[in-house]
Amino acid sequence: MSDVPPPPPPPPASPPPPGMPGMPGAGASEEKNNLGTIALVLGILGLVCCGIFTAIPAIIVGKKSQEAEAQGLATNGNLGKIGVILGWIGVALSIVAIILNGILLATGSWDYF
Amino acid sequence: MTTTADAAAGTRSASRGRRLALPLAASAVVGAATAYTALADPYREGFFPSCMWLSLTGHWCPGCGGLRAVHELAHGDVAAALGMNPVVVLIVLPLGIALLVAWLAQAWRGGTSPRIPLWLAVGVPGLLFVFWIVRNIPVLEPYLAP
Repeated sequence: MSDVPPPPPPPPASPPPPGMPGMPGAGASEEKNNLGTIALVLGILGLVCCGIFTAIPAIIVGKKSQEAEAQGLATNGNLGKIGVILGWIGVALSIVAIILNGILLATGSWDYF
Repeated sequence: MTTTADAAAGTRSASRGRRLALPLAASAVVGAATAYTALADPYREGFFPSCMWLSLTGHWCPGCGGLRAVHELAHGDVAAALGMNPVVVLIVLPLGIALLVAWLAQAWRGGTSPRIPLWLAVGVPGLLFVFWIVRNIPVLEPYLAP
């Protein structure tokens, strides 16, 4: 055991304060943060009522939000990612529902409730 | 670097009227849609396009009954609205209104967009999925389905 004190731990990585010119992806600007919010709202609407009509836009806007974060123009690409995931879920469920409906209609076993 | 700073400065220096245009337009659309839903009768067939999920699969989606709930709320009948769709009344509508207000406030002040915490962004869709399954379970349908 030596008397030398352990070196101080490195400072925790923290995003630079807003307004500071920063590295891409480090969250320098929140200019395009609206994209993430819009993607999330569209993704949720795709589940709640609108199916593919908002699920596909959710995927597109969510991808743009992630691109914006990669360029350092947004800090909430994770919301965009959730929008993309919800969008794909909405698209997948829509396709399954349409196929299921087609099968039921084709086999004549359509049973409403 | 300069482009980012310039863009940020540009966003900030845009006039209040121009910043407010989009959220005010969105508020007007939401207001008009609410007024229509309040005046029209969503119980009647054909007034609104019916739910895509319901017509395709015969099962309720998490938003089914939402329009009828808004109609009941606009007429002051909270119990009937809760009976139609509790999740829309208790979660989706308040959050939607809060988001709209935050958007208006942001445009008014000229700051950054409203921050949505990650737990909310994951939690709300998660809750909707659970609600989707639960309200289609026959035993619970009388309570949770419209």
